[in-house]
Order: sequence, then C-alpha cells, then structure tokens
Amino acid sequence: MVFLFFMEVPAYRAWFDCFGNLSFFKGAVDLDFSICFKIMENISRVIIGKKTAIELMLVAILADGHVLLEDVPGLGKTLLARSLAASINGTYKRIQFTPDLLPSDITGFNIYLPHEGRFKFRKGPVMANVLLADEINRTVPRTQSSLLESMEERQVTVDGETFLLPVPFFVIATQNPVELEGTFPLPEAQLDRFLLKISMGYPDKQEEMNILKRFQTRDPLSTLAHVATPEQLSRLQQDCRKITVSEPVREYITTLVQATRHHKMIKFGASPRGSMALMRSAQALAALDKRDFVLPDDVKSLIRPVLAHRLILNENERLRGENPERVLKEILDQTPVPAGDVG
Amino acid sequence: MSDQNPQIYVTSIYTEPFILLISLVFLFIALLTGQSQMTILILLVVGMATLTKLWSRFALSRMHIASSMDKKKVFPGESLKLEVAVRNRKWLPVWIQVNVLIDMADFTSDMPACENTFLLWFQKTRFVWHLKSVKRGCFNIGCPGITISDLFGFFPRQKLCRDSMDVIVYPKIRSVRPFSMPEHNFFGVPGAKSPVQDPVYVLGTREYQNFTPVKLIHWKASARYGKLQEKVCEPSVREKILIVVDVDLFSRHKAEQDFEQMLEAAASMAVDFERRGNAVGFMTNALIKGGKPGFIPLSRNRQHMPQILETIARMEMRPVSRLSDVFHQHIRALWGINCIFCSHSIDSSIIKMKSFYAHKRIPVKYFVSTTGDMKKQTDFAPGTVQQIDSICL
Repeated sequence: MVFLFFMEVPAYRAWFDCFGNLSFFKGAVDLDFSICFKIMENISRVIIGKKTAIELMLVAILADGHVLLEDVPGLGKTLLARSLAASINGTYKRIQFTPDLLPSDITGFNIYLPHEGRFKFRKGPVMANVLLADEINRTVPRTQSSLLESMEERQVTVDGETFLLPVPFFVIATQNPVELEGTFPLPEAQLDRFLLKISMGYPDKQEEMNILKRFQTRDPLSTLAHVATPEQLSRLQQDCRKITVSEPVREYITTLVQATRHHKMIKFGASPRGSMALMRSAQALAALDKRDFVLPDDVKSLIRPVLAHRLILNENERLRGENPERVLKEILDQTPVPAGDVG
Repeated sequence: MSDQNPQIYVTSIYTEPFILLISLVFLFIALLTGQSQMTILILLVVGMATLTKLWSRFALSRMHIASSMDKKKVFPGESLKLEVAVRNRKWLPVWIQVNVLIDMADFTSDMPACENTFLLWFQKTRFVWHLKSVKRGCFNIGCPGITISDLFGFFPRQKLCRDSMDVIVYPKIRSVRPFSMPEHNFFGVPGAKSPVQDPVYVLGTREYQNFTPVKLIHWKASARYGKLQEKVCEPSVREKILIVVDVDLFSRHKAEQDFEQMLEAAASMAVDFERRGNAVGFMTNALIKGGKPGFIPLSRNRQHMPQILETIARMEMRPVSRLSDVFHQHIRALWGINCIFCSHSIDSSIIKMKSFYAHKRIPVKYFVSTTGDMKKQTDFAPGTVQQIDSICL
C-alpha cells in the first residue's frame, strides 16, 4: 500500500523509472509498445539519422492517423514510407499522382463482364495497409478528393456500394514545397485529414557519409525483414487510446487550439479534429516514451507537426512571408503550461 | 546587438577647462588666504566632480542593450513594435537615455523618439515604440543612441548601437479591375481558347460530341457509363506573367506620385495573378536599395510573392541601366511569357521596346501613368495600352 502510495506521486515514479523502465511501476494500465521500438530500429537500418521523422511516423501509426511528408526531392521521403511498409508486413501500394489520374484509378471501379452479364468491382490501390501517395499535389483536386472518404472513414464508396479498407490503413503522402508551378495545392479539407506534416531535413555530414557507405554495395531495403504484423499494430492503436490524458492536459490542448482561432495573424484556426489529433498524437508520443500518461511537454513538442498545416494565415501575413510555425511558437510562449500533477 | 567601443564624451560644465581652471584658482586663493571653509567647499565640489566622473566612466560597463522589432515587413498603415531592452548588470546605478532614429516622414510614433530613466543595480527596463508606417520603402530604423551617465547626469557618455534594422514597407495592395491580356499568337493557350487541347490535363468527362477526335474518348468512363464519354481538357499551362517597370521616364519627368501609384498597381497585379495560380515574375531597371537584384524569375512558391513585394518596396525612382540590357541579360528565362509593361508615358524608348518584344514574340500589355501623346501613336494595337487609373479600384 505504501509503495503504491509513493507510485502515485509523479516525482517518485520518475525516480523509480530511472532504474530501468519497469512497466510494473508505471501505473494501473499494463501496456507494451516494444514492437514500435523494433519498427523504429528496423527503419533505422535503411534511413540514417532522421530519428525525429521516424518517431513522428510511429506516432502517426499509433494514433491511427496519416502523414504528409513535405520536403525537397531526394531526402528519402519515399524510402521512409517503403521501409515502414516493409517493417509491418502489410499490403503496400504506391500511387504516383499525375495530372491525368482519375478518382477511379485510386478507389477502384466496376468492370463489366460480358460473358457473365454483370459488373465486378476491381479494387483500387487504396485497398492496402500502407498507401504511398507520391507527389500528391501533382494531380487535380478532383482526384485528390477521392482520398477524403478513405482517409477519414476507412472505406470507399463506388457506385453506391461501400467497401471497407484493410485495418490498419495508413496513408503517407509526399509533396515538394519548393516549386508549385504545375501543381494543385491540397484543399483544406484534405490537409485537415493528415494527422502530421513532417519535414525530413538534410542529413549532416556524418549521416551523409554513412548513407554512402550503407548504400555502396546494396540496397538495405531489399533485405529488410518485417518485425510486426498489421494485427499487432491494430492492437497497439487500441492500447494507445488507454494512455491517460489528465484534465489539465486536456485543458492545455483546448487552450492552445482555441488560441489558434483567435490569433490576429490567423484567418482560420485549427478545427476540433485538430485538437483530437493533438491529443491522440500526444498519447502516442507518451507511449513511445514508455509512459502511460501524457505530459504537457508531449503536447508542446507535437503542436507544430500536428497543427501547422491546419492553419490558414491572413492574406497580409502570407504576403509578408510568415509561416504558421512561427505563430504556433508565439502561441506556445504565451500559453501557460499546466502545473501540478498532470500525470 | 553589437555594442561599439567608441564612446563620445558629451560636454558638461565640469569638463569645461575654464570652469576647472576657475575652481583651481579659487582653491589656490582659499589656501593662500587660509579660508578653510572655502577650501573644504571647493574640495567637495572637485571631489564630487571626480567621483561622478569615475561613476560615469564605469556606467557604460556591464550594460546589456538589445533592440528588436516584432515585424520587419509591413503594409502602409500597419504598426510595428520597436523594443529596446536595457539591463544594468552591475551594482552601480545609472541614468540612461535612449534615442531612436525615426524619420517622422516615414513613420508616426505614439512616443517621443527620446526616452530616459534611472536604472538601479541589476535592474532592467524596456523602451517600446509603436511605429505606424506611412509610405512604401525600405527604412533603416533602430540604431538607438544610448546615453548613460551617473545619477546627476554630470558626465554623460554616449554609445551608438550600430545594428541596422531594415523595415520593409510594402506598397499598398489595391483591388484590380479585370483587364484583357494579349493572347499568344497562333496556338494561344492550350486548352483554353486555342485550337490546341492538351489531353494530358483532363478536367472531367462528358458525353461524346460529334466531331471530337477519337483520341479524346475516355474509354474507362465510357465502359462505366455504357455510353461514349469524352475527355474535357483544361489548360496544361497557366499564363506566365512578367511585370516590367521602367523607371526611366518616371525619373526624367520627376513624377514621384505617378511612380508610387504605378508601383501599387504593379504589386496589386502581381498579387492578383498569383491568387489566380499564375507564375509571376518581376523586372525593373530601377535602383534597388540594399543591392538586391531587379529581376525576380518567374516562379510560383510560398516565398515568391514576398520576394516580389520586397523588391518593389526597395525600388527607388532612379534607373541604373537600360531596360533592354536587363532584358538581354535574362532573355533565356523569359520563354513563353506574357508581359505587363509599366511606364510613365509612351515615348520613343517604349516604341523601341515594342519592336524588341515583337521580335521575341512576347505578347505585351502596356500600362502608363499619363496618356498624353498616346492617341498619336498608331503603332499600338487597340487595347494594348491602358492608363493605370483605369484598373485600380
């Protein structure tokens, strides 16, 4: 009893945690997210450095969300998506988004069988566990929108018939932010459906040397073995929702999101879907940090990848070259962090 | 902010050699005549002067001064916050005066440019100015002059923080009336009004119409609907617009007001075209403050429009080269463009440029501030020259 009393105090619990991440000490919910670390380790065999990007990718998977990878060409966006798919042994499909792509090229279509006198549904590439939507902003908004239903409701409707998508369903979309000529910017409704927007960033010198060394003789992706199954991931997603989000942390999340709606530089702030995304992502990050409770620090570290792409700046701010990340930093600086027992 | 070493000694009554000389003469007389009270008084005065001088000498040391602005790019009428934070990191109290160099013709301020206060040991303070931008341009504000002294202010010392802070005031963005652009000859814009459609960019499908080429039949859609469907194509390219501002005539006519109006119109057109999804570029032969280039290549990305607006903000009504030279320098980057040419009025140099554009097959729309001799010019096709007032709302 005395021991349990001490474990309720976060300071003591943190002290016990120093002695080696014993899940027994961590509270009432017994959660095991060790598979995630195996996946991260597996991906790290192919993607050198970029620990944050890989971690955020895992956050998105655990939170059952989708990821928009935005960076200049050649930084390993597609490779990251492929190595993730290879690590979880799920079905993986890739769509190269081109201007002539049709919605039916993604969702599937009914094909007429003359000898049987009936239509048969031919599955589109969306029917996969991991879908890589490469250069998503190269296709017309009509085709981009065909992903809306599948991303939010995990189903596709073709000719009035609804088909459920495999579980888990995870979309990784990539886009190049540098040159927008000949592209169709993603509509707000589409952007809002991405849980996180991640930038890869350039590797440093040592990382780049390691990349050259590792890729000199063979492609490490070809030898990558799976370390998890879709079923395991699906279970982890369920477990992740059991991570405790205390009242002060919930209030902190809503205060931050509300602040985006009233900020003078922002035209449209984050939606309630944004606050839910922030909470789920924070739960996932807490899980990856071997905690069964969310800290305000989790929220703070995730606010930019979760909310930045959901904000629409005022016209004058846009012309001034401001970016939502700076506004979010300002909001973070101005919002008081909840004190006391948040775990 | 880098604090500069050179310090300027401000004249004080005690630094005047004459006053010092007088004090010493009185001291000498007092000692000679044995007037002890007079001697003590003069010694007290001289002692205090020495003490305050020493105080003043150490007043500048361990002072931390930092200035910042919340925005560096504003539109006319918007305000920005200039903040100078001063921290006294020693035991010696000081008197401090901050003087910012603000030209009231460029900005209006709610506070006087000069502010002063006392700082005790390890105390800090902030001086805040809310500046409202008045006109377009690139202005250097900041460089606060700091005067620090002992508490009596006898021996003030001055220091200039020479950090330059450029504030860019963009031109005013106005609504622009729609106007016609000259079309590319022969093929025009694919898919729009031209005989050429680009089957790559399929906008949608519709029922097959007679005389539509077979290659435009959408077979998948036809199979799904059980009826022939044809592709409806959209333009594969959007217009590429290069906005050119020739300052030569503005400078020659000293038409500053017309120049400002033209820049506002050019900026408004650039923003309008960018909103419509066009790739926009900018070219000028004007002097650009800060040594920035006068040519912004045609592009479309998030940082492009701020870059064009900044270039317009930095423009001065002074040509640095001939416009045709700037054109020749960047001719490779100008393939397939439409040009909007802004100038003060029509004269022989514009006629020369017109033949250059015709030679390069660049469709041009001319905007001028005044249409003085325009009617005499029969070289221009109707509708290609327009007065700038006619499109600004």
